[in-house]
Amino acid sequence: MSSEPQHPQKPKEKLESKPELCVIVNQPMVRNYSTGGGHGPEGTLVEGDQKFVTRKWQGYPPQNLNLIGKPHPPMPEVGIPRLTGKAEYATRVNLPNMLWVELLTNPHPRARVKTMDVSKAEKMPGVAHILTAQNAPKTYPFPDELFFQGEVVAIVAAETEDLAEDAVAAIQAEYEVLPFASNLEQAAAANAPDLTITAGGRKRPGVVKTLNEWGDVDKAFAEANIVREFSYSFAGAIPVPMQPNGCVAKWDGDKLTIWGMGQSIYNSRNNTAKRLGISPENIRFINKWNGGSFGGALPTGDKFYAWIAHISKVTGRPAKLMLPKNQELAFLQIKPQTFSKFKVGATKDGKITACQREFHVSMGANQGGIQEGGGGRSELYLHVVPNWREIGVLYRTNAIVMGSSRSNFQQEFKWAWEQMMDEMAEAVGMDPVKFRLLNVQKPGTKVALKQGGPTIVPMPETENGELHYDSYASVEVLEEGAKAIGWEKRNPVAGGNPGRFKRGFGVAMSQHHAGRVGYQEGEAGYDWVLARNKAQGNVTPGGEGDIFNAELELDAEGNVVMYFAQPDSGTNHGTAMAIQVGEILGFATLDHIRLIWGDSDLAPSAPPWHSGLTTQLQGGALCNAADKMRKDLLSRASSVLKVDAAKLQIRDGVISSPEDPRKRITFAELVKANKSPIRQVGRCLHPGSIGRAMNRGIGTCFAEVEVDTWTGDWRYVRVAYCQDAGNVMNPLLANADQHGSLVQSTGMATDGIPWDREFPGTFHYSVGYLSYRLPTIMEPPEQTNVFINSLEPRWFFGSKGFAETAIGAAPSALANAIYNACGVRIREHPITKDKILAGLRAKGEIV
Amino acid sequence: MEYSRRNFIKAAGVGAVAVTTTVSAVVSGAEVAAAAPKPSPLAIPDAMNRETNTFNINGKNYRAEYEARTTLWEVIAVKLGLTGTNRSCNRASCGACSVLIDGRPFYSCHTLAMEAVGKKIFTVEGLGDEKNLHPLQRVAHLYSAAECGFCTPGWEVTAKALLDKNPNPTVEQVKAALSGHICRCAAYAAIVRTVIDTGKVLRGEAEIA
Amino acid sequence: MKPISVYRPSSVEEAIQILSLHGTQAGVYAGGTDLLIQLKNRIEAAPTFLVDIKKIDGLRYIKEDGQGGVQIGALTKLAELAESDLLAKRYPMLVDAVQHISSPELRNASTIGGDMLQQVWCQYLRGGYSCYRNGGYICYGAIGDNSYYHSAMGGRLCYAVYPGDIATALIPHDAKVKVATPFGMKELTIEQLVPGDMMVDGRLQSHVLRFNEILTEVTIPAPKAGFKASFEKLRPRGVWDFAMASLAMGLQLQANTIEDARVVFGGIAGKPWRETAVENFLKGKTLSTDLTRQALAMALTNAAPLKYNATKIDMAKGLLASGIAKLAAV
Repeated sequence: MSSEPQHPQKPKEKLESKPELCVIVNQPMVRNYSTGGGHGPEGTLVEGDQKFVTRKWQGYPPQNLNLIGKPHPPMPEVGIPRLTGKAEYATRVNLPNMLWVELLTNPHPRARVKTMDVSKAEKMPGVAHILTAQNAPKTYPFPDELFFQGEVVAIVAAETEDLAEDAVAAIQAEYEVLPFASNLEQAAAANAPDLTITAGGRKRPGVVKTLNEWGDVDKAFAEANIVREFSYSFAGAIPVPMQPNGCVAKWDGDKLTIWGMGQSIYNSRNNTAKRLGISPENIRFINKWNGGSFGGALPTGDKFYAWIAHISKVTGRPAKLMLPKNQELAFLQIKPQTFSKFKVGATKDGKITACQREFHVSMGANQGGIQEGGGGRSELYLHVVPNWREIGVLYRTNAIVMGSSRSNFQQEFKWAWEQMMDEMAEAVGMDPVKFRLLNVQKPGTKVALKQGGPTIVPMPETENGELHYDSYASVEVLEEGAKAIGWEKRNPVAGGNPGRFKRGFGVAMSQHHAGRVGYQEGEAGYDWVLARNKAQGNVTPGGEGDIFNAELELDAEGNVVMYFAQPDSGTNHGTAMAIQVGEILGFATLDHIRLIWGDSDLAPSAPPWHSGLTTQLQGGALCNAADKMRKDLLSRASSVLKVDAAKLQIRDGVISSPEDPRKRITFAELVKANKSPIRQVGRCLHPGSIGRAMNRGIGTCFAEVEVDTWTGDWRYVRVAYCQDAGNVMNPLLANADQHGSLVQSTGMATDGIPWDREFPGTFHYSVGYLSYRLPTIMEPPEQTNVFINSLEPRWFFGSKGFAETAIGAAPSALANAIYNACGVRIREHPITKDKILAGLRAKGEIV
Repeated sequence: MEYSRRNFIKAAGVGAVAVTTTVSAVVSGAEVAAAAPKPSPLAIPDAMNRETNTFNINGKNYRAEYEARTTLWEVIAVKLGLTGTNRSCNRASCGACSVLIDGRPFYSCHTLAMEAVGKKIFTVEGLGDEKNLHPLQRVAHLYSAAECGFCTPGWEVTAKALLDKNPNPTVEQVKAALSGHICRCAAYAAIVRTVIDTGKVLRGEAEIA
Repeated sequence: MKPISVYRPSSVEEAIQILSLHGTQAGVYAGGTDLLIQLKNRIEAAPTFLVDIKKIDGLRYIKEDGQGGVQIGALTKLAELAESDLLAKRYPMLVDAVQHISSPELRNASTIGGDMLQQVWCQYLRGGYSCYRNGGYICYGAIGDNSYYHSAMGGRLCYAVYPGDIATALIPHDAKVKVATPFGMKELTIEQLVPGDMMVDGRLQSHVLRFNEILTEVTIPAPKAGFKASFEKLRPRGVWDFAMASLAMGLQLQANTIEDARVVFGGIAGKPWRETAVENFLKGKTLSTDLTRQALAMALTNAAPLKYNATKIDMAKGLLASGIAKLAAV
């Protein structure tokens, strides 16, 4: 017997996949959507114009769920390789005899190559090939005019990265510098150069102006009790992913394999085929894991695949590009520099009656028609604005191209709009939450065509005259968020607290198209889009006109294999989709579901993923296939068991009769009887081409901050994110996603692109992430995520996209919180410590 | 601000300077070798431009030839094919490429290969593979502490170094130890929780469900 | 990375011979954390003949000097400083400063000598622009975007701020350095070592070491009873970044009376900026936050901010207020 004293055995703690600080608020299943459409017969919904009928929940209501809504770690085939260093990022692909590629890039904001001498570089040790405008493929030439700093001038392939870099440095290039306008100040100047271009055989003006109006704005201003004017600027931001963008290209005879990085395999495959003048069938495109992409990396790899493949062809060796981070920056889509000006009128009790908004956007080196990317009208959708005028000016500039990057146009436009709402609340003497509650669109609101606005991209929701709000928890996101942060503790007077360290609260809202869902096979909307696409000859490179395809295979062991195209950037959509498929097929665990994805030789085609819609759209295709699979299996079992299919149940791979337990057959037995795996395909449409769905995402960010009024330093105390999220498929990963959302958006608020403020068109990235300061582990606050389960009635299990909703609110929520803490209003982005301190000095409040 | 000739000239000037820089003074490795001085009357030993040595990685010895300028990352991930260690910023500013050298974390993109000769190198491959996951990896999976996963191999080895030294760290100690690692997906909360709870598993106070 | 050749001398004398042989094309290679960035960015001024002094025995130590002071070998890693019980006991302010330098991984690689002699972190120099420090005849920082890492206290040729925290933190301790030269050892105060913006052997640099001189040791005298010190640092993020402004303040107290004072600002000038006006004001006063208002009024009166960095002065003053408050509270 031991002489040790006896301790009672402490039971071991059980570690489980449980999200921390995550609250889910369920709304009732049956509500009055009062949309002008409504609940139709036999589980249908009638859309606003009574024309389209949608199946409610697509036949799968959010009831009796086994998998959905429970926390699941990522599917092992996706998640485990990330932890063991085996996830196959393109940067990890090293092949025997492989060449390394490095770029020579343009140092000027706008230039043309005058002379270039590669003779010395060609003779450098280890150099295999130098690609320049002279020898680039005719099907995919180098740009003639170098429209921004960092544009490609030459591509060198050599035995090692260092040797390629040595050769790049030995290329002698002389440039003719052209007149440039790299920012809004330059582009709007009287003597700005004309940046009209010809693209696609059409002249594309360098500046596009838009004017839209609704109601009688001038009259409304004249009648308003309170009229205020505000201006804000956003300096731009960039979503740098961790993985250096690039690819590996390898030829086997006529067959090309590319390991790439992006948000689509088919789009990239087809673009590359076109640029090389070969058939897409001859390219195998592999892109399973990305080290992040965040929208910004969507076009980056695409630009280079054809050139790297060409070099590989010419040299007869595999070739690899791994863009140095300072060069990659020039090819990522950025959040653009944006300037916004408001005139707002309100009644004395706080109702907004009129708004005139003027915005100026630096579109960057956009080579197409710049009006096509001009932003949405989501701010005017967000709140009820009865009379408005909107003046938009979009400039082509000699800067990095703007585009989607952790949402499209949300952070930069909300930066202005939601600070304006804060300032108006103060002007009318209202609490900012109450002011928003008074003015926000609510379920049941109908917005007339012009009122919602003909946007630069026509928003199809409005095409039949009205925009409807139904599954839309705009009130709840404000009320629940306020509860989660403890809004009642907010300073009534900005900067009113005494002492060196001052705390304050801020709120902002954001709304995004990401709540929109597509239509599923068999629906009227689906056929309508197909017919329209056909008539327009609108076949996107992703496949047949915006169609997400998917395939399910039931194998001899009774496992369900999901085939889909989308690469995973940490998004873990595969897991959310497996949860949905598993739910439809009656599984209580994910143990029998397998994923095969990101390889054009294996997965059916699909357009790129973006906008936080993947689980809805690629998932819609998989749900569609699972629905067919379920019916197929039930019908097979019915004929074997001689039981009516309607009387059979499916549980964990066994189909049985609840009335007679002896009548049972397993999935594996059905496959055996079939003598080969059982397959079903499914499809789903992109909402961009449908635009018939009306649900929308809405979210709030509530922040509590502390400002050190002696130094301008600040920190978050707590943050509450509150989203209308629909039915959350997987709270663990949803929670994780929202942490990233806050931190990335905060990074965008506090650190812009490392533009040089004195030398426009020049950016600095010489010391990696010390030049562009990515948030570290020291900064994130305690964050509570509140998900309002609004049970979107149009989609499988009531789900809705929400990855890009509250994200748009974080920068302005932070600015509003800093104002409430210390009374300094930062209207010029980014929020920096020196601006806070300068603001305090201007108020005479420095120590 | 007005668009003015002054700005234009300034920016153009900057560009021109950059060009001059790119074309200047580049000597290949071979040329440097030729230019290196002969044994001098001062009896100075020859400079090293290239050599072959043994690297002990995760307890196994590997031979590799490398240049003086070759980084440890290039030896590990490119020359020896242990590709689990990812390189991101290549400027010592993100931590993705971290490996342990004699038990301490270093940025392998920012460590010359020659520095690690004769020392014990530890990479993510030494932590555990899919058949034999380290508790750190199992807890990280449970909490989804790897989103895109590109920074993961880096912070995992640093976290292991911390837990080897201190199996019961506080939240503040975990943050301080991992502060040299950027997670772009910002799974920071899950990462901290993973390290804290892995400590519990290693101390026998918790088990993974 | 630029091609390099590496020498591995076994003695300081041999290292000096090699440096003498190659002139300014050679450079001392120790932790390499700064040098490798320069080489990767292909900075023209970056040396390509590296003299790796890590093979030299006896340059990496923290030991007592027998008189209550401490000697630190130039190759001592920052992590070793941060973990030293001896330093924590005797010079807690120095340890505090070291713990806030760069990141843990970089502190495992960087040396105390390297930190003190590091190149400035101006984005133009680091980006390879041909400025005074890089073979050119212009300072882009003076006329360009000088938000964070450029001087608010004027300059001569180069306007980049001196970035090292250790030198700043050592001045209140009256530390000195030993330098090996071809003609024997010499000793310098920290202020003599990093006067900032100096032309030495045709190169513009922050320190005074010639191309063939090697810093070998830092010596810190014994702290006297009644010495209190505080280090404050403000930077964009809590990791990696350099100081937008920092303050190392040391007060020699007798009871609560200030007998002597050191007020040294970092991150605002081309050198650690010692504010003697404030030091003189503090001498003889009773330590309390009542001194703050007058001390701030006296501080940095000869500031000469550039276009984008005027706030540095307010930040530095905020840190001074914070430092006084902190020391008055203990």
